[in-house]
Amino acid sequence: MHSNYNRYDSMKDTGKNSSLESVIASYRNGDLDAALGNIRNFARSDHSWQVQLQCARVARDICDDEINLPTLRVAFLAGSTVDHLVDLLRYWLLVDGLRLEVYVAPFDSWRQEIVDKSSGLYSFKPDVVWLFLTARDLKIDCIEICQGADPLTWVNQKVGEVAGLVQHLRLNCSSLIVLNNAEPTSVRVFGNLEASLPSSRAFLTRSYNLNLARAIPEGAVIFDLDFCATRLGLEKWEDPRLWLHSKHPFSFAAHCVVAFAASKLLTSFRGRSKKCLVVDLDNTLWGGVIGDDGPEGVRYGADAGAVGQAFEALQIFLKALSLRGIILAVCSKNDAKIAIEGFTQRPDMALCLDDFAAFYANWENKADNIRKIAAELNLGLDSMVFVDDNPAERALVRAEIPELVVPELPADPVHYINFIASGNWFESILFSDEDRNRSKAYRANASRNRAQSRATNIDSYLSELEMCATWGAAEPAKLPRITQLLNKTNQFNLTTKRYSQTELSSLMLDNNTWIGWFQLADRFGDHGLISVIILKFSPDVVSIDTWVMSCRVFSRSMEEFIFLRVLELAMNRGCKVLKGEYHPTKKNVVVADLYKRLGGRLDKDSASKQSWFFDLSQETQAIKTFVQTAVRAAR
Amino acid sequence: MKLESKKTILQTVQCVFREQFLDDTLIITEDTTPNQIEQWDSLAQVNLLSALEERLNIQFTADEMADIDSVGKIIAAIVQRNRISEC
Repeated sequence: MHSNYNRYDSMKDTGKNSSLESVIASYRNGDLDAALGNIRNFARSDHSWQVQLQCARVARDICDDEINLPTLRVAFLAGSTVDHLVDLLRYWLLVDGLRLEVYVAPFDSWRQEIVDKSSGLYSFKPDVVWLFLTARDLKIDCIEICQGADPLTWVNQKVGEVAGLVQHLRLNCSSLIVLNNAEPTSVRVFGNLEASLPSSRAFLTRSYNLNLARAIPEGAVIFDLDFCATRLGLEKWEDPRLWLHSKHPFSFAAHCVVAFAASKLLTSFRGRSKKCLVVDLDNTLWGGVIGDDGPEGVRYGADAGAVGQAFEALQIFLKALSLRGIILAVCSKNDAKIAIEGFTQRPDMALCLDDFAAFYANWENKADNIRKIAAELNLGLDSMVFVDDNPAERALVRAEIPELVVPELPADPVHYINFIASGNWFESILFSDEDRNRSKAYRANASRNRAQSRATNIDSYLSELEMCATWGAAEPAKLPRITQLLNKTNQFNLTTKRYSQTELSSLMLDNNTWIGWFQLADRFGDHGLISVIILKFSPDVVSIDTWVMSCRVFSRSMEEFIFLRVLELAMNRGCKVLKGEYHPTKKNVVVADLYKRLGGRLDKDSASKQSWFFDLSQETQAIKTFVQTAVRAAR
Repeated sequence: MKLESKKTILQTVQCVFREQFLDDTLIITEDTTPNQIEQWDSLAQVNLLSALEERLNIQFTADEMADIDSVGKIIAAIVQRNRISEC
């Protein structure tokens, strides 16, 4: 029997072998690559402020050095001192592989910076503008209202002012706008009554937050400062000395919470959130070992004590993650037949077999299984998280696949949910219909894969899929999904240019630009909007500025279908030449020979860029696709 | 307050300075001021004091944070807290 959950207690800190000493030692030796590796291994969001500050110092020097990492330019507009916040944010972004470049507007000048088109803010050309306001900047106060002003009018005025500034920002730059909501305070004039008294400060703050969320325009996201404060607790959050001495917005412990949460939000904006959660079964999704205890014997649900209830809550949480678009997969050392019984013989489990896009239960090495899952689902290993109660398995997988996130689970399973939630791995700045249907789509993919293994050859498989595409030029309703796809696609992405929704809105209006979207369905289901292409027309020449496609539909001849449509469009506009570029990155090898396959000629070739060329006046090579245009094609 | 413990405090403060400025060879005295240590600016001061707070389990007042402009004043503030706890 393996029902002793605490047996790993003494081992729980041995998972990662980097220490602060090793970080600093490698840094002092001048070995910044080693320092970067050590810092990534060492980083934990529950480290104390002092430890994080030390790491932040090393991170700053690593970032100052000419390291080859993608850059994120963030402009801060704040009414408080954000220098420490910037340091910690730089550290946490570095841990996620991004290099922060920052502009901090002069103290408390946020209104002027936004309104003045020649301000430092706009000349910095940020990717992200963070309007870092706190309740203090909003001057949320009950005095005016106690003297007779109407609370709702007052709140709407504040919301109107801030939303107006955001609108102004949107008109003047195309950056993503991040905007704080208001944090609560532990100081209550009315005491408990503030929960229900509309003119009290607590009530005003809550009203402001709700109304702000309803009022923000597209292209802006709210940073939930309110949640950060609640999570840490107001007693630890507030430090009036720091405000009075140096205008720091909150305590140092609070800086850590905010920087970590913000880094995860910003990395998601850059398409670096995790997409898939791989879980073990025994003692991870239920208590006990199904091979020993049988499906009826594993601990799950109300009748199985506290631990059984904890596993039930965990499964409900994972189910919710799956419904919002996070892919679930199983990787377990078990006999497949027996492992499956955990779900088929236990209908009371919240998760069912259908919730998993891949199910690997066997006796092989888990690292190999996880690689197979990644290949089957067409996901990068660095977009996956692996959760396993067994520290030995974790250590093995971590050593084999460094890019995979393998968190050290707490020893007691009742803490699993909070622990998984606190990793913030699955942040997103948007929730779209595609997210809602993603798990279904991946399951349908699994059916397709099975069909493929039955089909005798790839052509007959593809034709049996009965694929139908809908496509058209971008329209406002499709922009959020188009933006999402452009910014999170890393594999099938020829040039890895990123565009904000605002930039796309204005490109849409440009006569010489065509932003096209493609949707694909087959007999197993609808993939939704899976590809976006941006064409730039000049007399005689059409260039493919950007072309991305979801990894879900690789190798289905969809790229051929899209290319044929591009050729038609180009011919209709009288173009003689089509140009395309390939900018190699670590992740887009899958499209390295795309233009070659499509019959292009290599024009220029350098390490950072290949230029391809198609002569449209000549007969092009036959391009074969199994996709058909759907009858109701909207153009 | 015995001279001995004042010396211990200076050692602790020196240790914190070395950590903050990532310099193992840094030597400080009571007379050391921000003028002599280039990186000791207002932000570094906040970092130094917060590190001392964590290590010694004390809290400086907002006034002290503003007034401290030498190692001597840091030590005086710590010594004063030791006296209070001795009473």
